Amino acid sequence: MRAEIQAILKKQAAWQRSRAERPWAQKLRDSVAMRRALTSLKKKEMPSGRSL
Amino acid sequence: MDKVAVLLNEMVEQGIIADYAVFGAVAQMRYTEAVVTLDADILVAAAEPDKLDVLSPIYAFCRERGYSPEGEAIRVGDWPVQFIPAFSKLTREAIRDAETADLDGIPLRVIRADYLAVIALSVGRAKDLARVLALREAGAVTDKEISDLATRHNLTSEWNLFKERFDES
Repeated sequence: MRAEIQAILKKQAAWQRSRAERPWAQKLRDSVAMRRALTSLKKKEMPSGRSL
Repeated sequence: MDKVAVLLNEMVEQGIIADYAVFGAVAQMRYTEAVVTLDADILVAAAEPDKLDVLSPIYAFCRERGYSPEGEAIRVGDWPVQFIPAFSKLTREAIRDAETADLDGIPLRVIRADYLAVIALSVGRAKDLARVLALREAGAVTDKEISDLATRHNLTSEWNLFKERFDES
């Protein structure tokens, strides 16, 4: 079990590293896309008419 | 971000500002994975530092190019841009020692990772401390580099407090 968790954490760390190693310009474009997604999520209204 | 880079380089060429350097989350993303941020923070060294209102010429220059204010920032393409005059010896030095990065073929001045970490340490909000952690984890800066720079700028106690809070004993 412990070995399985360690394998998962290792995989996660490698994935995070690979995302960090992308070109800066690409990461900045990703950041803009993430901001837009977050903004549109916040703007969505709940059925009661209240914002999220 | 390329529109921002072009605008900033034009400002230097035309003497509107003496120099600039990107800092904050946009600079952080040189070293870490992408993060969400509301705006791009730009440290600026004024062309005439003795003038009281150093931001007016910058805003006027942006307006002439069709970039208008949006809250406390100027919208340039996809990015609200916040211009922040260098406010301390540390930030003036950060601009002076900034690196010129290549952003899709356009040069863009950006502060070094050690300055980014120590400025974050000096501001000290939760998100700033998270930035120091992220930069260390990415291997962008060593503890010695942070410690040396923090010591030179009388931020040793902030650095020691950070290490007490976040380093496992």
